[in-house]
Amino acid sequence: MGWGEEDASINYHGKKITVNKAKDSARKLHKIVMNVLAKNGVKITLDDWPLVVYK
Amino acid sequence: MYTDPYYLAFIRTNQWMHAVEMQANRIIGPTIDPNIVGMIKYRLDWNQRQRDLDFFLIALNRLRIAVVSLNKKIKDREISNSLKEFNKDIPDIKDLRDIGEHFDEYDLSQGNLNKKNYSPTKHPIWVGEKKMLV
Repeated sequence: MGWGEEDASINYHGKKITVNKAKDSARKLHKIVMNVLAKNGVKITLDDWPLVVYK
Repeated sequence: MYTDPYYLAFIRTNQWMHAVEMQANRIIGPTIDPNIVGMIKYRLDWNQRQRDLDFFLIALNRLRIAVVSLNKKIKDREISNSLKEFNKDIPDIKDLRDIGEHFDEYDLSQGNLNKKNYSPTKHPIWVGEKKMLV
């Protein structure tokens, strides 16, 4: 497995991160925050700040 | 200056999620001009991946900070649980950011992890299972 293949896992000076897994976790966290904010009446608008488009 | 904590949180989490997406796509995507070959290509490729990884870690950590900051104010259980899951999924994020941000201290073996008897520079950087970068 290397760059661009499968999940792009990295061992960086003995500390590990998997790029795709980290991205998925970030998306999950982001979605929940957006849902909570929407429930609390925050206007999720595309005018000021476009919502993230997951690619 | 935004004063509404909810709207500020909306802006901040979106900004850093954008950055996470951008950096992740740069890391896993193609790098430099395919016409450049040999050792120069290797060095350029290596440097680009490394810097993209640095900025990926910064973006991930800033997203986390934005959410932690929001939840200090609103104390939402769903967000708390989600943060716990995020930290569990990426347990090394704080250390990775620390290594990147304080590279000057780590170059002198004086980083926070060095003080805890962990020497990051003694460990190579691996990408995937086989390809060693340094």
